[in-house]
Amino acid sequence: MSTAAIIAELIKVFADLVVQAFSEQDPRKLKRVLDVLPPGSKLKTETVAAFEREKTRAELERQGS
Amino acid sequence: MRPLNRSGATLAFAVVFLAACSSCAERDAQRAVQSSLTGLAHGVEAADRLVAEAWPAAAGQAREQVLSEREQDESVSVEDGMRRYDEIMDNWTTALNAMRAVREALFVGQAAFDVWLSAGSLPESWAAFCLNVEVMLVDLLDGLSAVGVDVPPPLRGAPGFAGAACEAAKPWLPLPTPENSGTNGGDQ
Repeated sequence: MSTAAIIAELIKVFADLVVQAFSEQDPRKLKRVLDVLPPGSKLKTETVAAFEREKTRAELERQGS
Repeated sequence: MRPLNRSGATLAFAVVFLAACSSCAERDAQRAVQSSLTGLAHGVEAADRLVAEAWPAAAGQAREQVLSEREQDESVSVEDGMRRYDEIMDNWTTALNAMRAVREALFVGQAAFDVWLSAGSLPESWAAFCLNVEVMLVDLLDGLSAVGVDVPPPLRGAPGFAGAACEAAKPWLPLPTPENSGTNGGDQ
């Protein structure tokens, strides 16, 4: 397996975890993803902010239905 | 012959000494700038971690408020609810944007510093970095205080450190030309 293929696979696994955390609105899954981000990664707050905003939208939609 | 030799040796020593001193001064300035950039990067990293940890509680409260307001007034649409949520979270979003701005500025500053190390002189982007970074850091500190997140130690006094780093690097900035004098504030 080439380095590029390993990187592509890792990105896919990572992306799947983020998609799962968002779609299931599961903060523990999101935390698991964020915990493995390297120090200095610029994704932490931005990901949490997006996650919480999505969660609010989902609850508003649920409330209306 | 002797006095001539002595003065020749003195002159040679002076030339070597001056050359060595100027390179020492540059190395000292580079060390100061690198330590300042590293400190700021660690500070932003710590702030990112603290804000990310505190965000869910604030967002949860904002969400509860929006949901309860909508429960009382059923005419409120999902989009109105989201607007209300964004309004309540405005201070947090401001802090996040300030953090993003500082992070991007530091990226530019670090890239300019790398050019200094490899090419021996600072690019003009360093002047642009210095022009903005202090204000951005003040905005970030204000943003953190507005959301009640403690300023992490590496960020305490950060605008002053950044200013000192910019001052230390000033002698290695390119001289102003008609082309660049408008971009570096014209004070170099």
